[in-house]
Amino acid sequence: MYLTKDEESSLEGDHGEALQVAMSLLVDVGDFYKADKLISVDSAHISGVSYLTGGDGLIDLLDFFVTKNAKVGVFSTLNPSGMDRINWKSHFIDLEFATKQYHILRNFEAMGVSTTCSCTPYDFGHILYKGQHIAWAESSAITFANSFFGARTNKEDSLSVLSAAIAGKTPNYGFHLTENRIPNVKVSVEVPLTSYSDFSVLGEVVGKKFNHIPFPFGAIPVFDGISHARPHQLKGLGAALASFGTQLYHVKGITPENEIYDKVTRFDDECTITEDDLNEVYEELRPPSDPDIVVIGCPNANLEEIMELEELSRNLKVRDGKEFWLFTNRAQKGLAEGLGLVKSLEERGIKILVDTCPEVTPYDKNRFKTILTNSIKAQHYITAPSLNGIPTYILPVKACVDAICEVNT
Amino acid sequence: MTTLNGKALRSIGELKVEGVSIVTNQPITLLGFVDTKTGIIMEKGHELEGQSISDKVFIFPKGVGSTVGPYVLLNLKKNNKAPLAIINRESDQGTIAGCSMAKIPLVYDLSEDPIDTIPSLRLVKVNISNGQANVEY
Repeated sequence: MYLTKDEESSLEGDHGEALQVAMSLLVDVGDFYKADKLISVDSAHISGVSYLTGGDGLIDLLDFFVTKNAKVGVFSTLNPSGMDRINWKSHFIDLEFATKQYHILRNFEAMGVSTTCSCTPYDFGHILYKGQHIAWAESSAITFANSFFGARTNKEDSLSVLSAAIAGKTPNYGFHLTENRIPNVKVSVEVPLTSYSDFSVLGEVVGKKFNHIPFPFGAIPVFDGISHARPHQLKGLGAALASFGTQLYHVKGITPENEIYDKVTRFDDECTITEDDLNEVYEELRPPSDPDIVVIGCPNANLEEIMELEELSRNLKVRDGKEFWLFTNRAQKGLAEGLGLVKSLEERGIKILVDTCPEVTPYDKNRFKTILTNSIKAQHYITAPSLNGIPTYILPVKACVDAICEVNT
Repeated sequence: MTTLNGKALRSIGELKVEGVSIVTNQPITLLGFVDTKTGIIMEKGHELEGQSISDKVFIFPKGVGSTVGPYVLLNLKKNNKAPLAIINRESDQGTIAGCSMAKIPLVYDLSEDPIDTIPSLRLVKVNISNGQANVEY
C-alpha cells in the first residue's frame, strides 16, 4: 500500500504514539486487502463500547490512547454502551458494571468522540449521501449506510474504526470501490411484507440461503418485488442480513444505486421467497412458554416505531412481574417526550432505555429465563453463550405486546 | 519437516514462536463464543467446542460475527489465554485488526492450505520477518 510522506512519518511515530499505533493497524489491514492507498473519510461510527463485550481489554486500550493524548480526526459517534447512563438502576445494572461503563465513556469523551451510544447514528447527527466515504463499524449501521444511502464503508471492526477515526483515513478497498458494490445474488420476493419482523425474518431466510457461498465481501442481494418499505423496516432487513456477513443490499426501485444494480443480469445464485419461508422461521422461534420480558429496539427504535408501540399498547399495561423494555437513542426519546409518548408508555409499564441496546446490556439471569423480541439480530446475540446466553424468541411487535400486557381496567 | 511460505502482519516485525497446533475447518465466531477467561471455544456444535486455544498455534479459516470480535483477542491476551500464533486460510478484517493491536502473530496467504496440510497436535514453528512468514511442521 502506498503511503504519503506524511503517513510514513506517522507510522514512524513522528506525530505521537497514538497516531503511530492507529496507522500501524491501518497498514496491516490495507496490506491484507491489497489496498492501493489510504483515503480520507468524512465520519466514523465506533463500536465496542459496552463493558459486556469489550471487557477490561477495551478499558486498557482506551486508557493507553487517552494517556497518549489521542484525539479523533473526524466527527465520530458511539455504538450502544451496556446501560442507560442515567437510568441504569431501572434495568438492574450493578454498581461495578456501571463504574466500568462510565470509565469507558469518559475515555471516549476525552478523545473527542460524541458519546451518542446508539446503533442508529443515521437517525441523528450524521446525514449521509451517496458516494460519501465513511468508516463505520456496527454491522446494522454499515449495511444501512451502504444500502439505504449509498454511502461507502467497509465492515470496520471496533479496532480498525477507532484507528480510522484517529487517523481520519481508511484503506481503499472493498465497498469503497464501485466494482465491489455489484449485486451477486438475486432475491424475488413473492410475499407481502407488512411488519418490521417480516423484514427481519426475510433477512434471516435470505442470509441462510446464501451462507454457503464464500463471497469475499459477503452476499450482495438485489431484491425484486418489494414495492414499499419504511426506513425502519429496511434497517431490520439489513440488521438480520448482516448477521450472515452481508454489508450491502439493493432493493429495486427503492435503494439509490440503480446505475449499479440495473445493469446486472447474471448472478451467482438466485432464490424466491414465499410466505412458507417466513412462517418456517416464525414457527421455529415461537415462544414455547410465557416470556419474562419483551425487548424491542434492535437496532434502536426510531420515532415511527415508538409511535407504533404507543398505538398498539393503548388501554393495556404490562402484567405484574413482567418487564417491557423499549431501546432507543436520546434524540428519539427527546422527540417522543415532546409528543407525550414517553409519559404514556411509562404509565403502561413500558420502560424506555437509551444509550444501550437489547444485546449489549447484561440481564439479571435469575429474573429473566426467557426473552421475547421482534428482532432476529437480538435473538442471535442474546442467546450467545458467553454474552447473556438466555433463550430468546421472535414475534411481530403487536404479538409481543399481547404476550406481555393485559387490559388496563 | 515441511515448510509453507506466506504473509504476516508487518507490525509484528521480527519474531519466532513454536507451539502445538490446533486446527479447524470451521470459521470462528469470536464475540460470544470464545471464553476470554479460559480460552475455551463455547460454540455449540463447533468441532472445537470445549477445547482451549490458549498458547497454541491456532489454525482456522477466518473469523466471523460481530465487529466487536477483536476485543475478544485483546481480552485473551490480557488474561494470558491468547493463542501463541494464528494461521488463517482466508482471514478477515476483525482478526487482522485484533491480532495487530494485541500483538498476536498472524500468518495468512500461505503457499498451501494450512488446514489441509497441517495436522492438529503437531509442533509448529512460525518465523516472521517484515511482513513475510514461513511455517515449519
